[in-house]
Amino acid sequence: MSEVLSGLFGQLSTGTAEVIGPWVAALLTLAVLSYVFGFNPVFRLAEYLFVGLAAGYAGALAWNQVISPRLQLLLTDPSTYWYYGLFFFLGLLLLARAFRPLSTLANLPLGMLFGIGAALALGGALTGSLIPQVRAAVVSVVPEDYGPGLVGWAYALDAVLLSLGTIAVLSAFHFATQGRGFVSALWHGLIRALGRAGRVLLMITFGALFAGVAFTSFALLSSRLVYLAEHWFKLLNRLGL
Amino acid sequence: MIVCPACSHRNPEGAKLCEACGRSLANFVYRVCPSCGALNSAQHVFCHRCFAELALAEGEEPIPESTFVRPYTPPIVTLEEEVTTQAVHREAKAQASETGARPTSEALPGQTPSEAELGPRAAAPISEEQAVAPSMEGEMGEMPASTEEALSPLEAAESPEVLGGGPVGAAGVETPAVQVAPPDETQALTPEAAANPLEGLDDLLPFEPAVTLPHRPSQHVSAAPSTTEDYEAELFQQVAVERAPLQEGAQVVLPRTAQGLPQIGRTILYILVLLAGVLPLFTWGQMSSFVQPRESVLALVRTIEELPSGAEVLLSFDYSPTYAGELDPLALAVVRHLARRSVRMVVMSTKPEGIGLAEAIYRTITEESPDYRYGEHYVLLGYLPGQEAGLRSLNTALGDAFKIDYLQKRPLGELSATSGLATLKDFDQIIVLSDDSLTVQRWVEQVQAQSDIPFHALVTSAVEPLLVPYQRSGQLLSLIPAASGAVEYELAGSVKPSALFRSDAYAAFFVLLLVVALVTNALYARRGKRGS
Repeated sequence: MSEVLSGLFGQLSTGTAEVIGPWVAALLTLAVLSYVFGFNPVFRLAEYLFVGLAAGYAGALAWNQVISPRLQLLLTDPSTYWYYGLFFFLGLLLLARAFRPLSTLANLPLGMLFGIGAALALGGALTGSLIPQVRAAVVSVVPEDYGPGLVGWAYALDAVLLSLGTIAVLSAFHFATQGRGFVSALWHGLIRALGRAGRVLLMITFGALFAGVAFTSFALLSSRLVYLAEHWFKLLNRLGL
Repeated sequence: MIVCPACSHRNPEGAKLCEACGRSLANFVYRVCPSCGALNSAQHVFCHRCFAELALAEGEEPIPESTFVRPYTPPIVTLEEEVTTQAVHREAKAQASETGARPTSEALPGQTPSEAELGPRAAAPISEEQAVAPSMEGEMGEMPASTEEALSPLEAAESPEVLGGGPVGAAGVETPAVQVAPPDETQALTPEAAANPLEGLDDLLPFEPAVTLPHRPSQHVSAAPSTTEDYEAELFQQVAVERAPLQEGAQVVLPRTAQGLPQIGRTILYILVLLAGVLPLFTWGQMSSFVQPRESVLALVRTIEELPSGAEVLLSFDYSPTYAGELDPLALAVVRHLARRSVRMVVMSTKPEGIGLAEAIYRTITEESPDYRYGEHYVLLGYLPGQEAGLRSLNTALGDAFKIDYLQKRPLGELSATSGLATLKDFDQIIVLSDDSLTVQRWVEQVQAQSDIPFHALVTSAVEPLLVPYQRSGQLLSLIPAASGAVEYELAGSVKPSALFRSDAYAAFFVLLLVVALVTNALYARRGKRGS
C-alpha cells in the first residue's frame, strides 16, 4: 500500500507538494477560523478531518513502532521473547470487551493496566510531588540566609509571602463551624480571615492561568496568520491574485 | 379561602361560585392556610406546610370521619383455624380419590392448562366478597403491594384450599371456607405474633411459597380515576408548583447574569486581535530590543553552553500539532543551539503526533547543517506508549522501550548516536517540550524523582503557572513558556532568529489585553455603583 502511494506521489511533478501543501493548510486554517461565525459545516468538516487523521496516524504509528517490531521478535525467536506472546495474549483479551458473552475475559488485562497504573501514579506522586513540595514549602525567613543587604531582605520577604500564601490558600478550604468558647471563636476568626486572603490569592492564580491561556491562543493565531502570509499569499502573488 | 380551579382566584370562605369567573366551587374546595398561604385539601384539618390549624368556614360542616382514608389492616388467620382447614381438605381429598375424581392439576375438558396449574380457585369464578377484603372496600388502590404479592403465590401453590373458600371444582366436593377474621380494629396482635408473624406456621407448607418465592410484580387494575383522585392529583400539582410565600419586606433576588459585549464591541475586539497578530509582518521585530531574557531561559542557555561536545541529551516532543504554533519556534531554537554545540540528541515522544513534529524540526536542522547527520549526531527513537509505565521502563532499559528507531527502523545498537546508552542515567540532560502540565508532572514523578537527572521543561504559556511549584522546589532546572520564551532564547543563545519578529505581536497583544481588562473592569465597577 505504502509503495503504491509513494509511486503515485513520485509521478507528481517537482514542486507539486510545495503548492498543494500551503493550499490545503490555508483552506483548513480558514475552515477552523470560520468558527468565529458559529458552529458551521466547514468548521465541522475540518474538525472531523483532524480527528480522523490523528486517530489514523496514531494507529499506524502504534502498529509500526510498537506492535510490529515486537511481533517480529516473537516470531523469529520465541524462546527468548516468549513474554511478548503473553502480552499479546493479554492484549487480545482486551478485544473481548466488544463481545458481551466474553467481556469478562477483558477484566484480567484491564485489572493489570489499572493496578499497575495506579501503583506507579501513587508512588510517583508521593516521591515526586508530595514530599518534595512539602519540603520546598519549609523555607527560611531569615534575611541573612539569603545574602547581605536588601537582596537578602527581598528573598526573606518572598519566603514569608510563600509561607503565608500557602497557609492562606489551605485555610480557604476550611468549612467547619465555630465551636464554643473564646479560644474557638478566636481560632475560627483567624481561619476565616486567612481564608479570605487565600481566596484572593486563588483568584489571582486563576487570573494568571486565564492570561496564559489567552496568550497561548493568541500565539497560535499569530503563527497561523504568519504562515498564511508567508506561504499562501506568496502563492497568490505568483498567481497574480 | 377557596381557590377557583379554573382561574385560581381566591374566594372567601363559604363561597359557592367564583367571584372572578362565576364557576361553581361546589366540588372544588381548596383551603388556603391563614398562616402561610399554602394550598390544602378540604379534608385537611392542619396545614401540610406549617401545621397551622385550618379553621372551618362559617356554616361549613366538618367532613364525616367515615370518608377518611385509613391504613389497610391485614386479616388475621389463627393457627387453630389453619389446622382445621388442613384437616378438612385432607378429608376432602381422600373422599375425592375414593370417588375416582381426577387430580386437580390435570386439565379438565374446557379448562385451559394454566387454569389447571393454578388450581380450582383460579378456575372458579371469584365473587366480589372474595376479591375484595372486607376492610378494603373501595380502597383497593391503597392495599399494600406486599399483601397482594402474598396472596398471589398462594393461588399458585399446591394446596390452594388453605385460603380457598370456594368449591373444589374437580371433585365437586364443597369444602367449607376458612373463617377469615374481619379486620376489627379492636382486635390487636398478641406481642408474640407481632414479634414473629410466622411463628408456629412451620408445618403449614402452603405458606412457604408465599414466603420463599420471589416477588412478582403486582397486577395493576387500570381504571378511570375517580373524581376524588382527580381532585387530589390537581391539588398535588398546585402544591408542587406554588412558591413559598415571602416574609414581609423580603426582596426577590434574581440570579445575576453576565452581560456579554454588544456585537459591535465584539467585532472591534476581533479586528484588534487580528491586527495584533499580523503586526510583525509590517514591523519585523521592532520590539525585540526591549526584550530581556528571564532567568530560566538564561539557565538553560548556560547549561547547554557548558555541555561538552558529544554529550547526550534526551528530548521528548510531547505536544500535539494543535500547539505546534507556539512550541515549534522554541524547539527549533533549542535544537539549533544543541546542534551548534555538537551535542548528541536522542529524541522521543509520549504522544503519537509528537514524533512527527520532531521529524519536521530535525529536517530543518539537517537542511541548515548538512554535517549534522541522522544516526550519528541525532536519532529519533519514536513513540513511547504506556504513560507512567512507559516512562518508568526508561529507567531500567532503553532498549526494552524502543526496539528500533523511527526513521530507519534499525536496532538502537546499530546507531552510533545511541551507542553506550543503556538507561536514562546515561543522559546528561533531559528536555521535555509539552503542551500539558500532567505530562511534565509525570516526567518529574516517574523519571526525575527516580534518577535525579537535570530536567528542563519547555511548555505552553497556558500550563506554565501550574508547573512553577516544581521549578521553585528545584525539580525543574528551567521552566520556559514557549511563546515569549522562543524570542528570549534566540536573544540569549545567539541562535539563528526565526521567532524574534513575533515580539511585536506579543507586545501588541499584551497592551490590548491590558486595555481590555482595565476598560471592562471600569465599566463593571461603574455599572455596579449604578445598580446599588
